[in-house]
Amino acid sequence: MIKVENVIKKFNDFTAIDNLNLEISEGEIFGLLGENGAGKTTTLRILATMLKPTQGKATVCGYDTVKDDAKVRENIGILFGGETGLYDRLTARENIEYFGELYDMSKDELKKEIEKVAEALSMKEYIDKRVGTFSKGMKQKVAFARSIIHNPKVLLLDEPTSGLDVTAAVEVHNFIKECKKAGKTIIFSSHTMSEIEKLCDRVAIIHKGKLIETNTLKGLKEKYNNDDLEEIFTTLISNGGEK
Amino acid sequence: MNFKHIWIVFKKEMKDAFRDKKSVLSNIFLPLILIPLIYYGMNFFIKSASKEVEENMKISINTNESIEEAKKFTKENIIGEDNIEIVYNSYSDAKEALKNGDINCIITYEDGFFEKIKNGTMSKISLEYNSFKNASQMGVEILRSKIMILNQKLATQKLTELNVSPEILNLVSISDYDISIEETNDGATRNDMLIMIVPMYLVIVIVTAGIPIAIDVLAGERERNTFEALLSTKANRLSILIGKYMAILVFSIIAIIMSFLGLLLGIVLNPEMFSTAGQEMSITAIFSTMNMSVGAFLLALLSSITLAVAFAGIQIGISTWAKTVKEAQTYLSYMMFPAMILGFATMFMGVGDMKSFMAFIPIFNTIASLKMVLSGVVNYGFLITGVIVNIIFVVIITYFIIQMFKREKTIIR
Repeated sequence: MIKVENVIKKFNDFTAIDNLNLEISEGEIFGLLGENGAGKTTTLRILATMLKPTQGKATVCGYDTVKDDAKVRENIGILFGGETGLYDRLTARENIEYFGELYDMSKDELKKEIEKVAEALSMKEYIDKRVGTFSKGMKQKVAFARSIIHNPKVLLLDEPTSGLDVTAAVEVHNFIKECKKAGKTIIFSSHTMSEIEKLCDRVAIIHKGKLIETNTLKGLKEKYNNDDLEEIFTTLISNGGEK
Repeated sequence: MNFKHIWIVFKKEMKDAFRDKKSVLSNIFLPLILIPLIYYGMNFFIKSASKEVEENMKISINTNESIEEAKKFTKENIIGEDNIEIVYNSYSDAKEALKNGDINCIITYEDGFFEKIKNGTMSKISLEYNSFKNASQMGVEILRSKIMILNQKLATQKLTELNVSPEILNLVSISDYDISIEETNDGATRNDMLIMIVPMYLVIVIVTAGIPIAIDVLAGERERNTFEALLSTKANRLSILIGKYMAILVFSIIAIIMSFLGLLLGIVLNPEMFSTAGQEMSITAIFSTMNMSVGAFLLALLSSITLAVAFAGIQIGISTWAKTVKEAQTYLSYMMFPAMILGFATMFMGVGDMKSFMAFIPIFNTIASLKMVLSGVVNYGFLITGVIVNIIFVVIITYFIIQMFKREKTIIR
């Protein structure tokens, strides 16, 4: 479903991603683990067609992120950054509609999908209210709804629970699980190990732009003979990426 | 490019902009109310200041002759029926009062003044005033004109006594005739005040009107973290850019129209400030002074619109380049300077002073086109060149912002 082949991304002299290779299967929840500045967001931005690789190639649903960028965008939904980006002066419905329209959804289709997603995320109460007054949890739900309204095959989530309270975070976790059940492929970056353990099928540990390890959670624990994912992660990082 | 996506982005941006109450109030409605109010205030303060001087004018007399005789002469021959009070007999007290603004002027009669007046020989009056005090400056003007009338009266008396016609004082009479009126379409009188103010004012508004929405739809989008989500939709970057460009332009045009209406209202409600040579300043009278042909009007309108498009583009470029809203605000606040500099530089220029090279400089050419249309002296070559230059300016700016939007370094910051 997603392939990253020998991708290098440089910003002037700085190498943000250094020869990254990943392969993610359909319906998988794939965790990206790494410190700040490790290259997680850059990887997600390349997959979202925001950035072009300096070298190498990435494909999503078989489409090249550079050559078939429009096709890639049709098939992805993104949620980037800790602070959820929404238009405060528009209602939750208008925010979602705007993105749906830009995905060429018809009015009827959009109406139906909004009702469905509002129900699934318990947003019915405030769907027609302006988002400026919403709590962070409410906003995050709207942002989620916005990113999946066009029913994308792939979801790119960059720290989607950052700054949320426990209840809101749990709701987001449940929603991600629902998306998996619906057969979506999800790449998920996070700092929280418990979250990764709870949701991800496989993880990739990235350090200073380099891929250090890719494995299932079970595989990682067995390989390093340790049940604590946090410890495995810090050991790998403190070794400067040396396995 | 996808027209449907352009329309969706445009519609959303307009909805968002018009829901921003502060921006709508300050850019759309405030000019309509504020400009007439500013002119009303200016007019009110100017009028009340001169009324204050006329009603409460105080002067002092300095003379070595009889003070009573001097007071009597001043009242009968200079003050007349006006309400001017003569205060202080001591020169030092009067000087101190003039410094403090307690009196408007000091009249000093030279030694032997009254004798000389009687004999019809030249006599001297000095006026002392304080230019730090506005009331003193206005007061000295009032006295000066009264003394000139006295001078005329005494000269006429003297000539009559000598059996000489007072007309000898006006051996040369001047009558002037403005040939530029002949050049206008129907020979109607121009309103120089409007030609001076309207083009400068309009160009400043054209150049700056789109700034608030340009900041919001680009730097604001980045700051809200909505930019990447928007760019990840099916809509391509060019469609998003054009949708936003159109929204800024339409918002600018609405703000420009409202500001123009505000200016028009300000003129109509405060006719004393704008009428030249006692012209009537109703809407009909104002438009009758604009001796424009339809062709010239359309070219000036096109010049203004292309300038608005170019500056909306510059605003997009700067707002896209800025990392934050605050940064965009700082850069865009400087945008007013070129318009103000070129506006003030041409403020006092008449249509005849416009040089052909000005047609090649955006802003300059729009100001000149508007001046031409308002005065009725139209140079079609100049107007057409100006429009072509502005269109080239728009093409260059649009090319740059399209390139900018393609660069990931500008988009992802």
